[in-house]
Amino acid sequence: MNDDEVEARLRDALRQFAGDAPPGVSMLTTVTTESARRGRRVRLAALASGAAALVAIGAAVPFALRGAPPALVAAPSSPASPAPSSPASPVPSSPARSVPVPSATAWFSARPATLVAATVPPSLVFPVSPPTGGGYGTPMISLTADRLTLFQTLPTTASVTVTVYDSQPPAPTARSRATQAVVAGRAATVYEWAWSDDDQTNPDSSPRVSLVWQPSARTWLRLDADAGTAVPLLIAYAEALKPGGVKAETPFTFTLMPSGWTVDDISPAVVTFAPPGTDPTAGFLFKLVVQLDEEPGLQPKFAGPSTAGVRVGERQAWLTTTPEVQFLQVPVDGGRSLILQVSPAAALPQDVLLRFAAGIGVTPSAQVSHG
Amino acid sequence: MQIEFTEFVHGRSQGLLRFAYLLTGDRHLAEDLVQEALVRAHRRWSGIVGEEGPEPYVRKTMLRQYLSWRRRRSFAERPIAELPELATADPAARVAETGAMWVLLRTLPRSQRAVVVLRYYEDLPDAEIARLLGCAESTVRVHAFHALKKLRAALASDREAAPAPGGRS
Repeated sequence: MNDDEVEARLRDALRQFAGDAPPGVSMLTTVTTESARRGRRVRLAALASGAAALVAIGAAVPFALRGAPPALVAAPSSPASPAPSSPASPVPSSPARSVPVPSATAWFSARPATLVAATVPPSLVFPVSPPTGGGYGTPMISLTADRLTLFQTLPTTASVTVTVYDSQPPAPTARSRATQAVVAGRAATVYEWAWSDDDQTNPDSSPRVSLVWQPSARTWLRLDADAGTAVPLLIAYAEALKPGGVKAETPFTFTLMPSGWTVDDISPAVVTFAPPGTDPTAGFLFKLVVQLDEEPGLQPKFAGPSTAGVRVGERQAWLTTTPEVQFLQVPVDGGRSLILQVSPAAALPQDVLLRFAAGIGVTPSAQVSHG
Repeated sequence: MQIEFTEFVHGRSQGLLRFAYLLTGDRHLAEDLVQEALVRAHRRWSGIVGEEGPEPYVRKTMLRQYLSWRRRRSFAERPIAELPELATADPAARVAETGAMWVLLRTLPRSQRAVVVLRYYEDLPDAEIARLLGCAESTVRVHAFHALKKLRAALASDREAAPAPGGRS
């Protein structure tokens, strides 16, 4: 048998067996969720200097969350109500530049969009209360990829993330090792798993641990811990979660939002709007992102040849347009500014974007975004 | 226009999974390999979508992980100590031999297997393979030479051991 024959056999075998590769049907959601988890610890450290605006709301909050949307969040703000809780004062006028922006980009071919009364919840209600004091960190509640999550550091400095599901969540990875456990008298499953041996967030190669249980008929919780967290510690934390729930105020108020769009991420610093047909993800890509910036916005933060002065309501704002992204910076009270980051996939006609921005207010709980 | 992450995942994840499966020989490991590479790509997306697009970055990440698994000795897939016996030397049993070739591939060191997959499945030139693996072209040729030599020896050995057509078994 010569090399040509061996090579022919090799090509046959490789082509044939490539067809047995896994389908990877949930790849996008899995990847973006894990990516957000890795970034969460960094962001929490930046946010920890501010209060998390968490309010215990008593035991009356039911566990039924995702199956009953009205219980998930407090009532949305009335579209007729005044929008900004921290209305921005007009900025002293400064010369607005009218520099031509690049043409033939998504921004100039954006599909017509209508604005409707916003349905962004004024607060998020997590169905269980985390432990406080005793070395536990301030919990951070967020909506991540359209799922309620709670992030908290433990007295050991390890961290946990609790995610709410309305049905039994799948195993973290296909190779997860499952064992049975008990949480507060209820059956639970412990998963030990790893993304890979080369996981940079897992330098000691210890397996990650997740715990899944059903605290009530319509709610499942998944508890994810840092690599190497002991299972008894995880179960103890799960049992320390008490019915009653906690509430976190949404950082911004919105009067209007694009029709048909959804809100899939809300954190103390960021709210993201996804266009129709976009799968929920934990990132900023393909979305319109609203965040609070530490700079006052009297001068454009992203100044460039395509930066132009625009009016957002009564305010002088700055619109920077590049082929890859659009930034709208709007000064607000308190020496801060709002930054709207728009992906080409979420492009809106400019007049629609400016009217949307004019309806945004900043709540006292809003934190400055660091990324 | 710059490619978007969702578009990339929807459009390329199947190809990446096939590539990963041929490298690892394991469906679960293949998923892990692709997921990890995509997570890293997602976290630095704006920095990697240059003129050549994100795929070279993702493939390099996959290859680096795949090869580092070996170095850490913690990869679940274990090398096969002995070459497997081929199913048959009967020329009519091409399908069976294809399966045997798949098993033989698992006996190759990972660097050789990576070169084999890139050269004979992806049809990449040696210069491109060298760039992805971060080695010299001569190294690629050496890996390919040893891989082919080992596979040819195993196939030839089996043919010699098999009974001749019409002979007694």
